[in-house]
Amino acid sequence: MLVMPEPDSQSTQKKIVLTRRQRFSELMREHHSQLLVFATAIVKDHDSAKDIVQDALVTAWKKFDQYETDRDFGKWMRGIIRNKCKDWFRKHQKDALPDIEVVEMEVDIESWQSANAAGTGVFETVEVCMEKLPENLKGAVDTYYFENRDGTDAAEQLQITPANLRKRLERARALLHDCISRTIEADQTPSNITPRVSHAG
Amino acid sequence: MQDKDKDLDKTLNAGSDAAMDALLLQMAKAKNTDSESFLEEMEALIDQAEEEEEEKIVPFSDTKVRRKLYWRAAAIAAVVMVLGTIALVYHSANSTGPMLASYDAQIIAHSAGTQVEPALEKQILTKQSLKAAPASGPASPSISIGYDTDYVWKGSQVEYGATPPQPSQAPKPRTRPESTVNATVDDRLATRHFLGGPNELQELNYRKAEPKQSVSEHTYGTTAYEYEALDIGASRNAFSTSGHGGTEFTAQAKKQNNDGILGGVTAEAAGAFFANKNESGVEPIIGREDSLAIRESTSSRYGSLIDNPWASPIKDPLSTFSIDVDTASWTNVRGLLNQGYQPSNIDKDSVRIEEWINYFDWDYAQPEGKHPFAFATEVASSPWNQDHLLLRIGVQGKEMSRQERPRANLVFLFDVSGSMSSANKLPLAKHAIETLTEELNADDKVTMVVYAGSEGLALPPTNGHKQKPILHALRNLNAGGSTNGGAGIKLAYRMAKENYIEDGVNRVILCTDGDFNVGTTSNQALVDLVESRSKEGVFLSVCGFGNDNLNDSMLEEITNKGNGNYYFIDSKREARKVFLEDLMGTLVTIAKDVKIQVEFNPAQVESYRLIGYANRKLNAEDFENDAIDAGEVGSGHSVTALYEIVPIGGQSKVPPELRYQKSTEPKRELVPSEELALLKLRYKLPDADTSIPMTQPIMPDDQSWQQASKDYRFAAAVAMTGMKLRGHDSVKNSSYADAVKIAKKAIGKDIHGHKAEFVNVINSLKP
Repeated sequence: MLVMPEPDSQSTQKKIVLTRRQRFSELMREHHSQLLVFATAIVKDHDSAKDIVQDALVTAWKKFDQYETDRDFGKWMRGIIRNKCKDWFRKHQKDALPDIEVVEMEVDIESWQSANAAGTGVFETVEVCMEKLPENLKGAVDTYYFENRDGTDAAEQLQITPANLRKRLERARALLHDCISRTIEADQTPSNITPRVSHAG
Repeated sequence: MQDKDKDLDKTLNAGSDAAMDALLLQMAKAKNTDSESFLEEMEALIDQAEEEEEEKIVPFSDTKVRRKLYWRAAAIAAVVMVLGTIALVYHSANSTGPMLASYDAQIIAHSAGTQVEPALEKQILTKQSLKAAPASGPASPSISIGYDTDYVWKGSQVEYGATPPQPSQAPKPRTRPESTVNATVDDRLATRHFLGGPNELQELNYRKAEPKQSVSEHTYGTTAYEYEALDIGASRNAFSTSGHGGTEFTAQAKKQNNDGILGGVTAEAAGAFFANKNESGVEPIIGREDSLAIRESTSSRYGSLIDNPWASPIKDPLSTFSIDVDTASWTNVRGLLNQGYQPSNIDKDSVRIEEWINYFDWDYAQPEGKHPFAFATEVASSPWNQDHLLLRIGVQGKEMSRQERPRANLVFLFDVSGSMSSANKLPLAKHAIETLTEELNADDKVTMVVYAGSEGLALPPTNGHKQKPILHALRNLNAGGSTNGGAGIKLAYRMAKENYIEDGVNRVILCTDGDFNVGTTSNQALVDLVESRSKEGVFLSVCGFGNDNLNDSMLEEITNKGNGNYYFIDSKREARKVFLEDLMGTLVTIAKDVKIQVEFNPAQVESYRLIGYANRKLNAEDFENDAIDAGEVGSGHSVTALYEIVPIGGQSKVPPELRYQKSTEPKRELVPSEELALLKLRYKLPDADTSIPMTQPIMPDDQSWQQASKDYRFAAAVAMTGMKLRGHDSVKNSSYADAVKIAKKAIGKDIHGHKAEFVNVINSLKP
């Protein structure tokens, strides 16, 4: 059975609550971005993902006394999010993503997170990689993602067909993904942490 | 247009590399400072969760009960309460003479052999103001309660404060602890139960009231104590607890109709409910009917309804309920059935039969004379049981013409949380409101408030003829963010009050999928707010959208008590029904706190049962109590209630023999009467505080249901279908096809095609 330290007075109890709370806030600040990425990747809708992550964080806070400090917070949270996503699919009467796909995404996101932890930050890596993209692909990513346009708008803006836009985005994402993986690997292998098993080919 | 965009966007980020897509999306959002606002929102939510958590812990915080044991403690507390109740009954029976109350207790406590540490248990006992002596010796009693209980309480020996009964008189009952009960009482609750209260003595037409002490003899010695009161159909309440392995505990009680439905009941609250003060001669009345329990711990969002049981006109001559003009339940279930759900997949608690019946247009006559209501009653044999009768009570509200419509001050409160973005939610809500605004004119005021992460004013109060700014604001609404319903509702009410129109329609219209799930004020607090504002003349309509996420029980609860209506809008067609066809009914209230009481004549009725209205039942004494809220009726609304009746001489449905009472014969003199029942209605005009009574006797009729009116037959078919979906025993020999057959021939004048639609939907059900 889990035994919590029994505080002597109410004030000490308050103090413990505060530090727990602060710790949780820090973890939240550190991890929320990758958690949103994870949930968005699964449910493919950023707004719903936001709801899910919020919900999951509230759940996590309620169970925070069960969280062991030496565990990876991101991993713990992703477990909760996976379940919340399952609920979400059920509620929306949609077929859930196959587990294998979720696991694959989790591997990617975990590696991005480790880049985050190493200090460079995956977003910065994306920016560096963006610069390496061919102009037309970069344009597509900028217009669609960073200028926050919907598909029709973005295609109009770029004066291409939606099908064309889709192709460009697909290629851009594949290149970016590859670039990020390489960068992170390169960062890690020489001095840092553990060598990562690279995909064949 | 929007849908098309959405589809395109789906293909743009579908297929390859969802993770990368998500990463880029998130990066873009983070650049737009979304990240900071997310974290801010998150902090607020955690604060809220923490507050809720602390509130929950309060009763035990000083006792240092570990949180993990919290629910266990609650389960134990429930047992202690039961002991208290039994002890009180026992005690008062010994010291203050016969009790008055009809006491009909059913406690369900499943808990897999939860055992409690003596220290903890003692704390709880102290908390409940029970004096408990520490465990003495190995002979601690092991107490099990009720037939439905496998809960074993091992613990301290406690003793009665009053002189214990002589052992010879009272062989030791299995359930009786030797306990000291020096219990406190929740006076507020108790007063309502006090059967000598001011509203207590109802005029009974069919028999003269006797002194209340006419209680039959009782003996002690077994598990159950029954005290029979011969005065009124006493109030019933339910308290049920269930715990599984001590980790999950759902304690829900509907204290009183007028109290609304409780969410989770804390052990302390429940303790107060069950604890008793003997001197006041007060005891809670516990029963199984009329209860609505919401399981918050599961993902189910429907409050669980327990149907009204059979009652005997001798014991319970009065059937009292609050009127309900809501229609959401049918729309909701219809949507599910249309999506191909079969009956076995329908949550039976989403079926509220009275709302189904109310959905349809009935051919009732308009009221004439001074009252805004007309009665339309009819009796015939029941289509599902030839030996039974079905009594239909129709109440038609006065219809006001559009020209007569008073000025309106409408505050729309839009839920724009992320979950509202689907096409059948916010976009449909916008469409619905657009439909409505066409009907508004310069005298009317429109305000729009949104709530999501932060609530805000989307349209300041604007005159109704200024279509452009209204439509502009409407079109600018976008879904995104999480939900904090509480703050939005408060702002909406403030706006409604600031723009209050004397003698006009002042109404907040909430458009939501009811997904208040990311932490908000408790349901009860919201209900209280809505209720208090309705007293100031601001009414509430709730429009539910999208049945994937719908928090049905919560929305119904809000409108149940707070003079409001609840609609479920699943299509443009439904939006037209609510905001165009029934607009006057939606907006204009003709009467509030409308209650119905039917007194059954024991000379004509063996037993009776109210179909539906499972969470609308009132205590008999509440009927004439103007402080007790009830439903609101809009212009042209009609309300229909069905009673299934076993005529006199038929096989009674009420358990016949009582062990401790000699007979079920009435102790009171019967007043000879041919009447079947007396129908009574009370209403208040929208701005009045005192209620106005109406009565009408109902005569028996031996016509068969085939001879009855179309309205009668169609209503019976709807009820039959609803009962079937709810798994009622009484209709087990009937099929959906039977209901279709009856309904088909009874469609009649069906201007809007709703009845034909019903037949079509039910026709597709497998038996």
